[in-house]
Amino acid sequence: MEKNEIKEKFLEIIEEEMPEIEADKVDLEASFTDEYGVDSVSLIKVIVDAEEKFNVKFDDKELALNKYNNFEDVVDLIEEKLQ
Amino acid sequence: MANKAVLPVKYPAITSWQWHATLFSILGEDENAKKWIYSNYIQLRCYNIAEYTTGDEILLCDMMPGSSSLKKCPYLIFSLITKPQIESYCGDVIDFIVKTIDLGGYIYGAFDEARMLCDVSVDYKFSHELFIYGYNMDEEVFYVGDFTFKDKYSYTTVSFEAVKRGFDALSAGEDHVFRDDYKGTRGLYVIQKNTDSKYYDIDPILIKQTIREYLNGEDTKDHFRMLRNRFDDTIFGVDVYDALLKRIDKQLHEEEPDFDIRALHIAYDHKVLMLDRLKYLMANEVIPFDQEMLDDYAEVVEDMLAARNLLVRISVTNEIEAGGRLADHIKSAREKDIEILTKVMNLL
Repeated sequence: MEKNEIKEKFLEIIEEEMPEIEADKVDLEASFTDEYGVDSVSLIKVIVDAEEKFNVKFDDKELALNKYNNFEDVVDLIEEKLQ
Repeated sequence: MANKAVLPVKYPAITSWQWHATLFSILGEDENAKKWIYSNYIQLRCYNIAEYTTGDEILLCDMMPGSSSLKKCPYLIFSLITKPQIESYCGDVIDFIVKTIDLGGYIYGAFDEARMLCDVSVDYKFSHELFIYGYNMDEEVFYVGDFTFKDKYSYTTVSFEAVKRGFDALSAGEDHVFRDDYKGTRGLYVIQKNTDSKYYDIDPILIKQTIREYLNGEDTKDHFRMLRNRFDDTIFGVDVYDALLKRIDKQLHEEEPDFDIRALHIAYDHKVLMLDRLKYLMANEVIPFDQEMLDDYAEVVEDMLAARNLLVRISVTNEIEAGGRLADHIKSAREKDIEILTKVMNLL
C-alpha cells in the first residue's frame, strides 16, 4: 500500500474517533498532543481502529503516547508493519 | 488589584492524584524542593476503600507521603481557612481567591465540579479538589489545574461564577478534603511557596531506609504512629504489585468488567519518579553514574506503562484474555524493580 493511501485511510480513522478534529485540515506533522489534544485513551482508540483497517498488530509497548510526536509517526509505523 | 495575575506553575511530572499534581505544579522545577521530593515518594502503599463519589470498592494506591504531602512539605506554607473566615474577611469566595492570589497564595480545596460543569440543577454531587493559580478580571475567569474539565490533567480556565457555584454547593460534611482531618469544617487551603532558603537536603539515609522498606514490603507508617494509627489493612512496597495483579484479575472477571486504571497509573508514575530519582542521585554523585542501570530501570517504566495502556486497550476492545499479557508486564516490572533497587540500596 502506498503511503498516500495509508494517510488517506488513517485520516478516516481520525475523523471517526476524534470528530472534534477537522480531518481535512489535519497537519499530520504537528505535535498531536499540543495541536489536537491527543491523550493516551484517544491514541489507543485510533491504534485499535488502525489495526483493523490495515490488518496490522501493534505490540503493547507501541500503545504508549510518548513513542510518537505526531500522527505522521503512527502512519510511518503502520507503513513499516505493512512492508 | 491587578486585572490579571497568574502564579508560576509547571506541568507536573506526576499527575496521578490532584495533591501530587498540585505540589509538582508549584515545586517540580525548584532545585531546593527537588532535594525533598527525591528523598520522599519512595514507598508505595495501597488498600481497598469505598470511593467517596460512588461507594464502589477501589484499590487506592499512592506514594508516601500521600495527600498530606502538601501539608508536610517544608518548601510549602500551608494554611487552612474555614468558610466562615472567608465570608467574614471578604464576604465572597471570589474576592477571597483573587486577594489570596494577589498575595502569592495558591488555592486548593474541594468544589462540586458537577455544579461547575453544569449550571442547571443536577441530582448528584462530584466533590473534587480544585487547584487555582491565577485570575483574569476582564474575562472573569480563574486559571485552574484539574482532571475534570478536559478528561486529563490540564491547565485551563473556569469562570468566576462556576467556581462560586462549585464552592457554595458543598456543605461541611461533603467537603472530603476537610472531612477526615477537620470534622464539621468547610473551607479552603492557601498554599505559598517557601523556597527562598534551603530547609532540607537530599537524604541518602532516608532514601536507603525507605528503599529497604519498599523491597521488604514493610509498614512505613509505623514511623508515624504518634500521628495516625487507624489503618491496619495497608499493603506496602513491592507487595503492591501482587495487590495490583489480584485487583486487575478481579476487575476483568466481574460480570460487568471494571476498567479503572487509577491504581496502575499511580504505580506507573511511581516508576517514572524513581527513574528521575536515580538520574538525580547520579547527577549529584550520591551514587555512581551507571547508564546500564538507567536503561534497565527505563524498562521497568515501559512495562508499567504497557500494563496501564493494555488495560485501556481492553476497555476499548473487551479482549479480556489479554489480561494474561497485562499480568506478564507487571511481573516483569516487579522482578527488574527489585533487582535494580537492591543494587541502589547497596550503593547508598
